[in-house]
Amino acid sequence: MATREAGKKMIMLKSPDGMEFEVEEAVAMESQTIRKMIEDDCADTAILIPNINSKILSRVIEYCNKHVPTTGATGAAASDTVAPAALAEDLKIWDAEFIKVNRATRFNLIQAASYLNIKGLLDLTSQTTIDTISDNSLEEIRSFLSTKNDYLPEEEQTIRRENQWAFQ
Amino acid sequence: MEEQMSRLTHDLMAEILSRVPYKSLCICKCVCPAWRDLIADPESRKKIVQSLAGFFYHIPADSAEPRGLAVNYADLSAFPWSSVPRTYPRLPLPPDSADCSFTLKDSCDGLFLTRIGTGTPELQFRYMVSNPATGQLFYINSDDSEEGYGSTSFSTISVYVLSSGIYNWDASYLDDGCAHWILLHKLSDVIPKENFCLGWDLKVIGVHPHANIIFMADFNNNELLAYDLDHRESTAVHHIERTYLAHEQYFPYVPLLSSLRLPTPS
Repeated sequence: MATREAGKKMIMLKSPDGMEFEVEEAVAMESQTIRKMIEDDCADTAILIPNINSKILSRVIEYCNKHVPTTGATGAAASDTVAPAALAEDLKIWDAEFIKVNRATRFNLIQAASYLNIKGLLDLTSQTTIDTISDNSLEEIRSFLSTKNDYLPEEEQTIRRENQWAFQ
Repeated sequence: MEEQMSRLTHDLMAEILSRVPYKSLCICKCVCPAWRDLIADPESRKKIVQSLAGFFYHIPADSAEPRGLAVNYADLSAFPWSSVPRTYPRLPLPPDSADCSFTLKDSCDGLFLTRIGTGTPELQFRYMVSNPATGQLFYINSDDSEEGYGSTSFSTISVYVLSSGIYNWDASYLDDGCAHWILLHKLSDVIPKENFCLGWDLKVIGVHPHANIIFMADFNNNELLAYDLDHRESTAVHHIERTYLAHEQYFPYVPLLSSLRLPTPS
């Protein structure tokens, strides 16, 4: 977790279940949705984030804290000592740890990333699903993503025949 | 068990499906009707990678409907191709086309160059570019309308990408990020064991890059062959009608769903 520093503007984020999170403005602005609210002066004291519970919101803030560009006084000092490539490598390892969550949490994170418009988080969270679809057979996709097959038998036969080559 | 994926909005699902390889996308159509419909939805199709869908081809003029439009469409999903349902794409026609004749000259990335013959007794020609996926069409200025034969005429069409707006999906087109060609098979594996002249007796008319199929017209046997590179098998998929246009008969169709900014008519 990043330590809070004096003089930085803080923003209060509220989840619908009543939890409040105080975050640096720069961190909150990783979300394009919140950035827009701040720039349009719609954010005075606290911003209510609908549909995202405190558990998910805290994970999102964790992500933004890690990914906020380290510019400014302290950031410049940090990038003097750590090479950018090493920093990127560190972020990648951190991301891989971050995404080790169960499926329900992952889908919640995808929704949150989409609503808050955080591109990096959306890419990270949807990649697992993309990989699942890309690397598996039809039956595996259905079972891994718990999708119910409500095709009628003859319907399924037709669509399979039309896409025959993809199964070979 | 709770259906996890259904909790994602259509937009998010389309976003995810737009990033899977084309082959997996075809498998996804078979997962459930909701996914099939999502992939077929015009809005999400703009995001999703398109591949070779079928061919437009010339048919003998006397069986043309409407008269003058001697062009038919064969969809790849309708193997072996026979009659084609009405829902398949058709060449958009200009409103004043009652007594015109249409000749396909070229196709490129979902756009078709068509020569329109008008007027009696003296035949005049003009040229049209159209997109069956959006129904858009526009004319190309041509100076040969009075001469007919012997003057310069258009025979090819090229698409120039003017802005990222036209091809917002082109980045995902090469799904392995690899743009160079590799010689996978020599053509001698493909063809009937007879003397042939490439480009005359046997002509490559299209490639399905995702399914690894090369389509060729075999004019010795009047057949359209689909050669499967993975299995090294060729299948005759269509009978070719001999017309005087036989050698320029098949035009591959890859849906182009983005709107083109049309030039203002002059």
